[in-house]
Amino acid sequence: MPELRARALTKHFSGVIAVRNVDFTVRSGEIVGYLGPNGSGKTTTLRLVAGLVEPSSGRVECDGRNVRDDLIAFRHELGYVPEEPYLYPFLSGREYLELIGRLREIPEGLLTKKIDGFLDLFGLAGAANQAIASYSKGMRQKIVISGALLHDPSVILFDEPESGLDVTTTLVLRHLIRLLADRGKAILYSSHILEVVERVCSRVIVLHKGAVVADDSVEHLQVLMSRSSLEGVFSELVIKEDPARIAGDLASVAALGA
Amino acid sequence: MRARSIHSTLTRHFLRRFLENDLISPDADRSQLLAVVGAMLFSLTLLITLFMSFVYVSARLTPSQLAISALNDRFFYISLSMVVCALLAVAQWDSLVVDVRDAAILEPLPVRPTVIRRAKLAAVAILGAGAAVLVNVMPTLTFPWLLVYHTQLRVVDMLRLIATHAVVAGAAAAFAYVAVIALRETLAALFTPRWLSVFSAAVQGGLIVVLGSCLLLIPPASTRIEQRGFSGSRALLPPTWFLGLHETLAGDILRDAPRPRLSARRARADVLASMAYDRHHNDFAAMARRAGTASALTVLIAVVSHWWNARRFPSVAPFRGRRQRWRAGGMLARMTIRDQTTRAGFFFTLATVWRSNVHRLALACAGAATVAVAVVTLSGIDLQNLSGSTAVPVSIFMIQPIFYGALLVAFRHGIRVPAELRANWAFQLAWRDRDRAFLAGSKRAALVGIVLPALLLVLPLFSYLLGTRAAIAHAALGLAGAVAMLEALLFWYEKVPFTCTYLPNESFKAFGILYLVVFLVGAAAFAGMQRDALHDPMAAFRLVAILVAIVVAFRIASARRAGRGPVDFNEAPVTTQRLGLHT
Repeated sequence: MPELRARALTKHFSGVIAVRNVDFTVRSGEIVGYLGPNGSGKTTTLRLVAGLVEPSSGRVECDGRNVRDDLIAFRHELGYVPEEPYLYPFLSGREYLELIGRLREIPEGLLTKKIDGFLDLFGLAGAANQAIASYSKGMRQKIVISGALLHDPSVILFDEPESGLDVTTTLVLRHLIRLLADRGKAILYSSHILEVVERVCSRVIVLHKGAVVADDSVEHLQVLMSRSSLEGVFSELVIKEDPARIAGDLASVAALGA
Repeated sequence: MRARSIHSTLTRHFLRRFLENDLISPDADRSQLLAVVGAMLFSLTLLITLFMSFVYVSARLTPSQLAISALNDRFFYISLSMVVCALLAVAQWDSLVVDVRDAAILEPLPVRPTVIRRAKLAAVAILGAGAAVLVNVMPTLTFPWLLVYHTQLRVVDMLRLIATHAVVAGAAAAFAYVAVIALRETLAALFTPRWLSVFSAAVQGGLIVVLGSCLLLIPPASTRIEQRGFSGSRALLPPTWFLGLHETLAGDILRDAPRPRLSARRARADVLASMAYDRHHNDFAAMARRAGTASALTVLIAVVSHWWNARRFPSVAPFRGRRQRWRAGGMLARMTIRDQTTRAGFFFTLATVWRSNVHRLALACAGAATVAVAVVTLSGIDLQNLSGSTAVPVSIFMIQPIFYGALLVAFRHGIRVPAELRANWAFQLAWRDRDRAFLAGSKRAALVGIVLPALLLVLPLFSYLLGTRAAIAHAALGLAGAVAMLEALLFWYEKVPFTCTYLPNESFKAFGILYLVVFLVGAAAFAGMQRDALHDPMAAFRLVAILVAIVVAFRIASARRAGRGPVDFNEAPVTTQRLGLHT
C-alpha cells in the first residue's frame, strides 16, 4: 500500500521562494485536500511531487524511498492531472490516449478496451477521432483524467481537476475519487472549491505563502477554530483582509468615470 | 476612443500578430528581429545587385547590347520581388483576413466590424508594402546606375529609369501579393468553412513548395530572355508581363542613348542588338497590356471575394473535423511493430510530421528545394533520346537521393523542434527511459511517411527512363540508402523526438556549407553506384553490402552508447545554464 510523504520540501525560482519546508503525508486510501489562495504554491508542490520540477531542498518519498532515486519507477505508480490541460492539439483524443498507454507499455488489447471504456463513460466516444484542437476545456480535462488513470496508478495527484467540467462530470469525478480511495489509492487533491474539498477529502492541508499553516481533518479544524464550515476555517487561516470590503472597492473602481 | 485611434490601435495589433508565430520565441525582441531581417534583406539584395551588375562596369557594352542584357536582370528582379511577396502572403495565409482568433477576441468589444476589417486590410497592406520596399529598394537605387556606368545618359532619363524600375517592381510585388489574397478569399467564398479547413492547409503547403521552387529557379530562368522570346509558355509567366510593362514605360532610353565612337565590329554588334531589341517591341506592348489586365482582374477578384466574405465574421466555434484513421495501415503497423514504445514513436512521429504546421513547413521547404533542383537538372537534358540506365546521366540519378535526402535532413531538424512544448509533461510522466525504442519507431515513421512517398513520386520518371523493373530496383536501392542515411543522421541524437526543448545547433551555422557539399558529393557518389548497380549484379551486391555494413556499424555503435542516463526534456541552452537561470 503506497504512502506518499513530502519532507521539508522547498523550491525557489531565481531567489523567489515558491514552497517552503512543506511536510505532509498521504496514506493509502486517504484523500488529502490541498488548499491555498492563488500563488500559495499548490501547483508547484504537485509538480515537485510528480518530479516535473526538481526541489531546491527536501525530498518526496514514496513508501520510504526518495522518488528521485528512481523517478521512472515512481511515475509508474503515479497519475497526475495538471491544472492546465495542455495536450498535443493535432492528435485526436483517442490518439493521445493511445500514445500515453503505449509509452506506459500497456498491452495493446487491454489499452484499446480501457480507452474505449474511458471515452464511452466520459461521453467522448463521438469526439474520439476529432482533433484535440477542437475540444472544449472540459473535454480536454476528461482526456487528461483518462490519461492519468489509464495505468491504474496507486498515487494520484489532482490539481483542480473539476476546472471546465460540467456539473454531471464533476459529480462523477467526486464519486470516482472516493471509489479510487476505497481501492487503496493515495490521493492528493488540490482545489479552490472548498465545498468539494469539504465533502470529498478526509484531511486538509492549507498552504499560505508557500508554507503549510494547517494539516488536519476537516472536522478537527472546524472544532479547533470554532468555525462551522471549511470556508470559515480557510478565511481564518489565510484571508487577512475583509472580502466584503475588497469587493466594495472593486465595484467602486469599475464604476470610475461612470 | 475616437474611431481613428481605434483603427490605428487595431492596425498595430494586427501588425504585431504577423510576427507572432511558432518560429519566433515569445521572449524574442520583435524590433531587433525586424531590424536584423531588414538589414539582411538590404545587404543581400545590394550584394546580389552588385554581383549581377559587375559585367556592366567591367565590360563596355553598346547601348543596344545593354538594352538586351538588361532584360535578363530585370526579369530576375521582377521575379524575385513577386516570389518574395507571394511567399510572405502564403506564410501569413490565415492571418490575411480577420480569422477565428481575431473574431473571438474582437467581436465582443464595442467596435464596429468595418473598423476591424479596415484595420486588418491596412495591416496587410503595410506588411506587403514593407516587404516590397525591402526587396526592391537596393536594386532600384543601384541597378540603373551601374547599368549605364559607361553610358552618357541625361539625368532626366536616368531618373526615369529608376522610377520605372521602382514602379514596375512594386506593381509586380503588389500583383503577386494580391493574387495570393485573391486565391485565399476566393476559396473562402466558394467553399464552406468545413471544406476550407479540410484543404486550406494543403493549398498553403502546395503554394510554399511551388513558390519555393520558383525562388530557386529564378537564376536559371533569368538568362537569354531575348533569345527565348515572349511567346508560347513564356508569355504565360507573370514576370514576363511586367518585364514588358517595364520596357513599355521606360521607352527606348537605353537603345537611343548617345553612342561614343564605336569600332566597326562594335558598331555592327550594336546594330544587330538594336534590331533584336526592336523585334520585341510589339511583344513588350502586348505583355504590358497583359500585366495591366491581370492586375486589374486580380484586384477585382480580391475585392469582390473579400466583400462577399465580409458579410460576417468567421465562426468562433472550431470545426470538429475527424482525423482520418487509415485502418489498414494502422493494423499493418501494429502487426509489424511489436514493441509498444516503438509503436508510440511510430504513430506520434507520423502525426507530427504530417499535422504540425512547423514540421510541415520544414518538409515543404526541403521539398521545394529538391523540386527546383530536379527541374533545373531535367531542363538541360533531352529525355526522349535517353534509353537504358547507362545512357541516363548521373545528374538524373541524383534527383532521387537528393529528394529523399533533403526531406530526411529536414526531418532530422524537425525532430529537435517540439510539437507542443507545454504538452511534454505527459511524456515526462509516462516515459520509461526507452529512448532507443521510441527512436526506432520514429525512424520507421520517417521511412513510411517521408521516404516512401518521395520514392513513389520519382518512380514514374525513372520508369519512363529505365523501364518499370529497373525503376523498382532503383527505388529499392534508394530505400536501402535512406535507411543507412537515417541511421547516420540520428546516430548522435540523444533526446525524444518532437518533445524536448529546442536547442539551436551552433555547428550548423559554422559548417552549413561544408554539410551541403558533403551531402551533394555523397548524393552524386550514391547515384553513380545506383546506376552501376542497375546493369552490373556485382556492383549491386557491393552497394547493398556497403549499405548493410553502414547500418550494422551504426546500430552496434548505438547499442554501445546506450545507458547515457535519463533524458532531460527541459534542457536549457548552454548560455542560460551558465547564467544559472535554468531552474
